[in-house]
Amino acid sequence: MTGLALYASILLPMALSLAAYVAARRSTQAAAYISAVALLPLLAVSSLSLFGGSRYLGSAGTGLWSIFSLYLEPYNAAYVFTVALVGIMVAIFSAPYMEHRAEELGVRNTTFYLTYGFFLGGLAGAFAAQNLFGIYIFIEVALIASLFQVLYYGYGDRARIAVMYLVWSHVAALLMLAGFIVLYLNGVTTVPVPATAAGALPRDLLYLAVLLVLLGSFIKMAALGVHMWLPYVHAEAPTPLSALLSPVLVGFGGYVISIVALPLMPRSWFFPLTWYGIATAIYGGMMAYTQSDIKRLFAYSTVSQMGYMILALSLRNVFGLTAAALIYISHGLGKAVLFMTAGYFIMHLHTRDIDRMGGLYGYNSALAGAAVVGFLNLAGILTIGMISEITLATALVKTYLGMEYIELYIAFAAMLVVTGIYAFATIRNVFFGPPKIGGAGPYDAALVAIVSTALLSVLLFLPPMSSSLWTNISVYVQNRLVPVGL
Amino acid sequence: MSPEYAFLTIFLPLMASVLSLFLPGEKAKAWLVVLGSLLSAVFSVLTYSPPVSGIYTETYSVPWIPQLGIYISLHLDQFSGVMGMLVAWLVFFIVLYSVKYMEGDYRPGWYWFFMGFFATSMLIITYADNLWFLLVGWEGVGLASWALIGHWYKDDEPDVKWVGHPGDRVALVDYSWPPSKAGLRAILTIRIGDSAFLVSLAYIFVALGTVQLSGLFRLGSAASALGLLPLFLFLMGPLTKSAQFPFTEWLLTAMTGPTSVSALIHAATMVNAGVYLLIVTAPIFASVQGAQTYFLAVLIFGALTAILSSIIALTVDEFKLVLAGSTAANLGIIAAATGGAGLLGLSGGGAALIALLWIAFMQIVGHAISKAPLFMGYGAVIHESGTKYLGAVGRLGRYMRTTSLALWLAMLSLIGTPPFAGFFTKEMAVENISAGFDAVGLSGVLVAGLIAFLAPLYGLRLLGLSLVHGPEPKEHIHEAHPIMWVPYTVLAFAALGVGGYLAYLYADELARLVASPGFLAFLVGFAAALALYVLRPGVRSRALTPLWRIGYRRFYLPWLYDGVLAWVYHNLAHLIYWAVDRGVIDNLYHVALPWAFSKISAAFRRLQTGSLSWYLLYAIAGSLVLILLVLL
Amino acid sequence: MIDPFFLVVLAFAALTPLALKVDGRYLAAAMGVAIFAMAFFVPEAAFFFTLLGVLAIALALDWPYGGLGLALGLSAASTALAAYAYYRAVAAPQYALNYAFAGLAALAVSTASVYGLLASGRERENLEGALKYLIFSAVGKTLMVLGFAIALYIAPTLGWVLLAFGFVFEMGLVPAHLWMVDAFALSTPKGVAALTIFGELTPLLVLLTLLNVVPMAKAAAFALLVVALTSMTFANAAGLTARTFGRILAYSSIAHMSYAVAAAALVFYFGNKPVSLPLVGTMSAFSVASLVIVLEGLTSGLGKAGIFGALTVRHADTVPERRVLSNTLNVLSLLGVPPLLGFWPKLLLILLSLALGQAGVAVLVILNSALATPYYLRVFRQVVEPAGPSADNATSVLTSTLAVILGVAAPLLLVALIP
Repeated sequence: MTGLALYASILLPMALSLAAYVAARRSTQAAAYISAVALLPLLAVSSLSLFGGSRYLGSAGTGLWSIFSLYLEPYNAAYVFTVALVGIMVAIFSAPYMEHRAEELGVRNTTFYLTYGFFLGGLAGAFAAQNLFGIYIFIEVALIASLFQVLYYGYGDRARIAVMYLVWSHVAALLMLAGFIVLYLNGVTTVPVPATAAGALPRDLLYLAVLLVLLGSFIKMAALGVHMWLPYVHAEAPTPLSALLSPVLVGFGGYVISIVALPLMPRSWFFPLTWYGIATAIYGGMMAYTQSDIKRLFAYSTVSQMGYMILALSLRNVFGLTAAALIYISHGLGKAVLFMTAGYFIMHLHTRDIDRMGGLYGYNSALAGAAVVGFLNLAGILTIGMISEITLATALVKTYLGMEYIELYIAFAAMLVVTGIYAFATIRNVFFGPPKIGGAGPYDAALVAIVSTALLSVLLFLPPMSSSLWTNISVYVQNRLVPVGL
Repeated sequence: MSPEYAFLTIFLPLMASVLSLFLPGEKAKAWLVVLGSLLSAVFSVLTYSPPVSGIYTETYSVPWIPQLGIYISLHLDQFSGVMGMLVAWLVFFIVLYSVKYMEGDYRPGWYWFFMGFFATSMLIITYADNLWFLLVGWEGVGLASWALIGHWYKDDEPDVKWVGHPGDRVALVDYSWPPSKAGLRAILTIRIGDSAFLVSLAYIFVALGTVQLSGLFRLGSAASALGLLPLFLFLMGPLTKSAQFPFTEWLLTAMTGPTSVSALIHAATMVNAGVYLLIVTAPIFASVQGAQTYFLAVLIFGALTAILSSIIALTVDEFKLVLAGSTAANLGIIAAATGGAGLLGLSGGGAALIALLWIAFMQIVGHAISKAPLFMGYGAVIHESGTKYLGAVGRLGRYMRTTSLALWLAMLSLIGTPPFAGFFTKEMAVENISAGFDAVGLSGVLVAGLIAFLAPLYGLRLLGLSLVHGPEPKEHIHEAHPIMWVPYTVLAFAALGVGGYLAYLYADELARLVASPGFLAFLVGFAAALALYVLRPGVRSRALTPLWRIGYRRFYLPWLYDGVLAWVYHNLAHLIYWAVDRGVIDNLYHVALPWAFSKISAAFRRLQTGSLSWYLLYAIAGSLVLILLVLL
Repeated sequence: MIDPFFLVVLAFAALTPLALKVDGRYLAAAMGVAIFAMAFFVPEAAFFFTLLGVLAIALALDWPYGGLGLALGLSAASTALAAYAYYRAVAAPQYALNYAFAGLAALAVSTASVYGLLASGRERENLEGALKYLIFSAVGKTLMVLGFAIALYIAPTLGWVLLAFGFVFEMGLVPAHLWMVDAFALSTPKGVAALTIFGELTPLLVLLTLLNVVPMAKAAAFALLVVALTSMTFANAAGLTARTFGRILAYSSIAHMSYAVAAAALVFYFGNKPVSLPLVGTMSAFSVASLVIVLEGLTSGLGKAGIFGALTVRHADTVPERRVLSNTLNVLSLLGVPPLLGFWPKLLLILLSLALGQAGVAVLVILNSALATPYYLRVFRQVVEPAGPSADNATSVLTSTLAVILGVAAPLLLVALIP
């Protein structure tokens, strides 16, 4: 029964996307709201699991059909919840945006809404899938769906960017797949990978599998060294898609690491991984600071946040894995706000260039406030971001306690400072200083979406919400993930 | 303690300010927040009645995220009780003052929201018993300070709203700070402290299993295993927050905020959060292994800040900058007094330590109630005269009688003239400092004397050159609006009143205080200041000019921060971006590889000549190669 | 014993005079129906008979073939025969030899008829493309027959090396691949459609049949493996800068053929052993390889048949002028996007190579499929972006539907395809 609910809530977006497709021929508004409504069941189910701690298990059958068996526990519910929430908000946001974009391109945005549901359904499926192949298949669905959006509604040299996106994500997905197969051939079929698996596998095969999965995940997460595709894709993708890609799709790599790679990873790999995470975070932060295209800036800040996530995962304790899920939530909401803000500028100011912005607080104060909250999410101040930051710090010290790790503490502090620098410098450059643009920003659906997302990120910080989600996630992590090899 | 009152005290301002967001018109917003802060002030008194003595006397706590040690918990004792009342009432007075002061401002929504938001955050810090919960307030005040320093986000009216002379440069580095830039400096400096602070809290939680202040206090010697590392990481928070040397800079440029903000946040309350935290955690850290080093560091940082900031206050030429300098100086005194108390308390028992800390704490009160009116008063002056430069307008005593009276009272209290509140609090604090230095075998008298000597100099300089002497104001200047002058005059007299109360309280110590070297130094300084700036102004000395310049340039720290550090970070980031990110990684993946493949591909397709014989030739040749391969 | 099915093909061939009277398309359709009907009498190969029959009908419906309709029908019939031979050879090993020869015969028939179709445009280019095909596959067949005989009666190793080269020529693998591009680019699209589905599926089936008769020698396996790996990389790299349907898809089908051959080569080079197939259960590496070969052939054939079948131009060396939306699915299937048909052979191949401990091969295949994405995306855009109205026809719609259905039902299909 509950399994049925799970299937329904994941398939509904895909099903209704056809309705949205039809609706989009007449009015973008209708299509957008259909797409938003289609995600409500998913939001409900995931919230029940995340805040209520309820669990779902769905199976499509035995044998090959077991590919499509799904599960929902507070831990992955945290991810699904973010997907659903951001999906809804972005759908609302997309109503005015896609109208603008469609007439700019002189096309109809039927394809956008046809693929929208598949993208989000696929993503949710990938997070809920219990079978390794299921994960792969769902993520490919999401990937192809988003590919169309880049190809038909993107900016700049769309075709080239689409190829770049397709190639990179394809490689990432296939590397993951290869790793999955190695595991599969050794009888590891479902996630989270059980504790016994590590012992059962032959060493070299084990390392091969972990390596393949890690590599694929790093590419997906755009970790340092393989991050290059992200600034291009996120900058040129249609902004609603950027607002989904960056927060929800990219973090998928982290999820895969947490449930597949971590349990099997040899202990000696964790410490380098910690440094790799910090390096990615600092590097991304510094690069973000140098950007003048606001969407590229946010893309690099995503790289930085993924560094946080890798760091969290590398700490192999209950706080670390909880922090990873929390970072996914906080970054998801925050980055969604920011990308939608960028989209608002593109819509109404027709620019992405920060040098041409400045003093925009006067342009629309509600927008400015929301954007500030978005940045606070990244900087970990007084939003759900703060909970994740506290959890992360605790996890770090929990694993590496003592004077001998002082350089680690300093690097961690430096990481936070670097984030603070680009966050507040950007706020200053965009919203403060002598106004360069007159007029007043309109109050439209886009603004509503932006502000409410920002508000939610603050609400999640407050006691009843943050307490329950933290508890549920950590309890599941404690019982199911941490004993696994850690 | 009744937690309801405490919670009302803490959260009423926030509720008011959140509601104010949805009210149209600045008047409505303003009065709503005023009402909220008034109620909060009243409840702060109820919270502390009946008064309780000791530290962490009463606590109350509800779980937030227990697994992470996050509880919403409060502690009530002589420190938090008094601090709470002080904060709440100052908030009320200053908010009331700004009803008039901020009239017709272009960003009322932002201002009124963050004022209430700040009050709540500050009160959280005051009452919080759980360090994570305290961190919430800690980040809150930082955020509010950033928001309100940069309140005038348009960076307009440089002569009133900026710090420094627009266009003034030192070795290629701008020496003038628009609000937006000042805000950035403030938040980044504080971020540096906070990130270390965060790590130390995590460290304490992991090492000791709790971050409840009362719980840690009860651990006693069990906490000794903690070690020095977390203590010094912890220290980074207060040092930056309370603008201790070398982090003083952000506080000085914070003067770009509206004067009401400077009065509340950057004089009376927020900057005191750091030293307040030092004071309330001292009893806990006293039991940690090697605490002496920690307290010594606090003492030295404090004393250094006190002296250097006094010199800055003595040399700069802006009303608010002088006051900011003296704020930093006093924060230094408080910190140093805390350090001294710690050092002395280590040898003495717990009770002795609390008593000594109480002295340091009293200086917070003394400084707050004398500094707040000074700021508000000079806010009125700037408001009326339209300039922020010391020496640009003078002889204001004639035109703004009430204001100048309030300013005189407040200033005398600030610099520690008997029988004002400042006298007692400051003298005793200075005693702490000198005793503390003596305890580690350094000559405390010198330091204490220097500190006490400098205060009257900058204080009277400011008054003398603005109220008594200086150029006649151009246009007619009249007294400030009652809503503005009532609050600061009341506070100024409060300084006198509290002084009387303290005189009654410490009657038996009066003789000792008056005889103390600190007071003698003060008298010398006072006499000199009187001569130099009030009776016979205009005495200049060529010889001192270079020294004066060093002070006036604030020891060239801005040049280091805005110049060198910013330059290095900026260019390093851009270098990496162009050299590594674009240069290597991007080119490798998105230029070199595609190029290579397109070349290869073209080469392969060049075989496609269309001539059948060639095709067969290729095929046969290839097959032969293959056969060789097989054979080998 | 004479298998009834030979007689059928013979009968078909004997219908030639009829072609002069009746319009070929009806003939082809009729033969398609006949093939379809056969499905009920040959349970082992029922799947192929159904599929090929339906395909033949669809192709026949789309274009007027004139006299060459018979060729279309014959090529379909011969492929069906090859499939039948394969399954019978497995089912009745004692007759395997006969069926092997039957397969070779089928190959000859299909080559002849496909040649006819390729040349049907009556343009110089068409003829040239067709001719190249004819010559190379003739060489190939000669080598095959020779090699098969030698492998049977004289020296297996030598024989299989010759056979290997035969298949290299027949399927257009490096180094004997060059004809393929010209054949695709210059011949008539409907001919190429037939070539991709019938002309390429047949040799694969024959290969399987022969493998069941005489196991491949290690040396030959090695040679084939090298050939396969080189030519997949070569083809995908070359495809990157190709611009027209004809050329891009030529490279793509070289790549597909090499995937298929690689599977067989892997098994016989690294030794056949039981592989525990995820979700399906344990089966021998060889059957997995056969699955890869059959599915790869189907993927390539169906996808390209759909794309070329929808072309209205005289030869495929141009960019199409009409939008064919159903072909988007065909392209994605060729690219190997789950859950479409094209995904499964690739998956099985990676799986096979990992099961045999050849992570390197697996990664190479992965990189290849990544390398291929740009040109498939190009085809995709060429399919979608031309001005409407969309020109979907029976073949393209049928094949795209099959790509989806077979893809989604692949889990069940696997069992059906393993003889």
